[in-house]
Amino acid sequence: MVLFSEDILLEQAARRIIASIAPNVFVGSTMGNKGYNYFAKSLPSIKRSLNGIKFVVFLDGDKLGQLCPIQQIHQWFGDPVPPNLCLRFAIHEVETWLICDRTNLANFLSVSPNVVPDLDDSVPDTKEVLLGVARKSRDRGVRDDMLPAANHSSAIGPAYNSRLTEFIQDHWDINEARGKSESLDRACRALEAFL
Amino acid sequence: MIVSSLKLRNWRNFRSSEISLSQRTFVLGANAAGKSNLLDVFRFLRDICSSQGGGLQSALQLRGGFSKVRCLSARQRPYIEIDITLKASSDSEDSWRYRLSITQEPRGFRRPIVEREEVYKNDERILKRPNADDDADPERLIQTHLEQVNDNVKFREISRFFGAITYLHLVPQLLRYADAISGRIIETDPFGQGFLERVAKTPERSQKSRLKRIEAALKIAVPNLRELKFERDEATGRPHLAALYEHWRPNAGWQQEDQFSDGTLRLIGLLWALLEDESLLLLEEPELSLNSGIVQQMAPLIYRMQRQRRRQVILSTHSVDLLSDKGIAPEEVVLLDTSGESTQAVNLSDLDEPYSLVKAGFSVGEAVLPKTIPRQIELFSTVSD
Repeated sequence: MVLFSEDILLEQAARRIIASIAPNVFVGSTMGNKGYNYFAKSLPSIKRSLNGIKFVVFLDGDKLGQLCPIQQIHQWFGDPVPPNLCLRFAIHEVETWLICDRTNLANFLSVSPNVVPDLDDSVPDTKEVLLGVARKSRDRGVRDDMLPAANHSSAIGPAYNSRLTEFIQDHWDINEARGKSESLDRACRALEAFL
Repeated sequence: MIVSSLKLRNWRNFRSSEISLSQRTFVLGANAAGKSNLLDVFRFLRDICSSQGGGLQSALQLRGGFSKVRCLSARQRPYIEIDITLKASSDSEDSWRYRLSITQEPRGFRRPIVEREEVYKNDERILKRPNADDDADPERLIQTHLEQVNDNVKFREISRFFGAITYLHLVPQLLRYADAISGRIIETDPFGQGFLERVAKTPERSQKSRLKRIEAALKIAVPNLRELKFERDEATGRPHLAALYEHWRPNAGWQQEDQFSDGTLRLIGLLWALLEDESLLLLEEPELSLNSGIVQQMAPLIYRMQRQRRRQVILSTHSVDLLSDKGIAPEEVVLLDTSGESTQAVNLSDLDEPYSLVKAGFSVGEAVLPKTIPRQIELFSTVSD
């Protein structure tokens, strides 16, 4: 089985989900992590590979625009969807899935629990929301890692991904988050059936 | 202390450039654009201040003389100028500025001489040359005050800073075959031949704590590696690094550095350098021999290691993977533009298009590297015989 993810955080989340619902499944190789454009470029190769290889694909849903996920998948892979493919979108971004585990995220980022908003898949641009939470952290290390330095114009801080990877690997409670995020719950159920 | 800005005139292939630098700076450019030449400015200052036989004349000789260092496209004013600003830290207001212009004697031996040397502390000028002493004895102009213990008392701090600059371009083969090659080690050991000796000379406590941290980083990067330790050969007393790899036979998995992969050796050397000192560290293409997964993690890894010692790092790179991390800010990137007659170093944050791309969420790699690919690269594959 190949795991193809849009970026490193989605890959980490996907690995945790797979490990929790199908502990015996071995993720053969991982691909992607180079953004959405790389996925779009790889699309023809993925389609050809689907003849013999199972693909689990995770993308951020913020590219969908007006389309609903299944329309988009049909556009890419045709109808019916090839049986070897399981493609899931995190709506609108993987950050939503993390924020939906409020208590653990609050502990991890050293903020009081009520700082982490109670939200679901309807809220867009949750990366901004998460950065806003990190900004209120009592731990300077968290702020330095996750937020861009004062005069820097990158969207995220220098160790944003490493911090969140640590959260996903060691602290993230998937079942808690599933209760709030419909796209996460659906992804888990789809993978249960697929694997 | 960190270098916060640099202005160059007629330095190698840079006729005129001005850039700002941050705690972590990535220098990008096509092949032969001058990435190493840019890093060489700092090595040049280090060579001037070196406590062992340093000085302006020797630093220029090491580089083949004044004419090799001066920009080929230098026009009316054939002097070389380096103008560098230092700050106590990235958010500090206290600053030093050192400005050095070098030219040649108009006649005679045409030795390189100081045309102008100035030091400013918090914008107040504390040195200006040529001064009355230089007028009385022009011979003094073959040396900088930076290199003179008697003359640099008021700005010893910056002389020490330059003197401690480290350049690292670890060549695994030189380390692995150090005994067989028994080559001469260049004074500051840029290629890592004497790396094991350096580890050996480190006081035991810091040695242990550094190896522990390196071990933690390696465990993530190198599959099956479990433990890293320092040891001495009982018979010869030679220092060695040994790593334990997970193996079905217990105790069968200890390997010494001559069996490490190139990537593992480079990574150990790099991590050690980050933990070793507080002065400026120059890294030449740290991505070499490492797999793309590790290279993708390198920018945050450097940042995290830096946090302990606040060591400024300037690195040159070609790697899209290294620049794929979205935590790299445009302010941390210097781009070498070769479209004109000479190369121009510019901050990415001063270029409209790539800057907007990064602000919109593209990584620096996506936004910039296409710019550093030579325009006729498609023709490369048609070159034959």
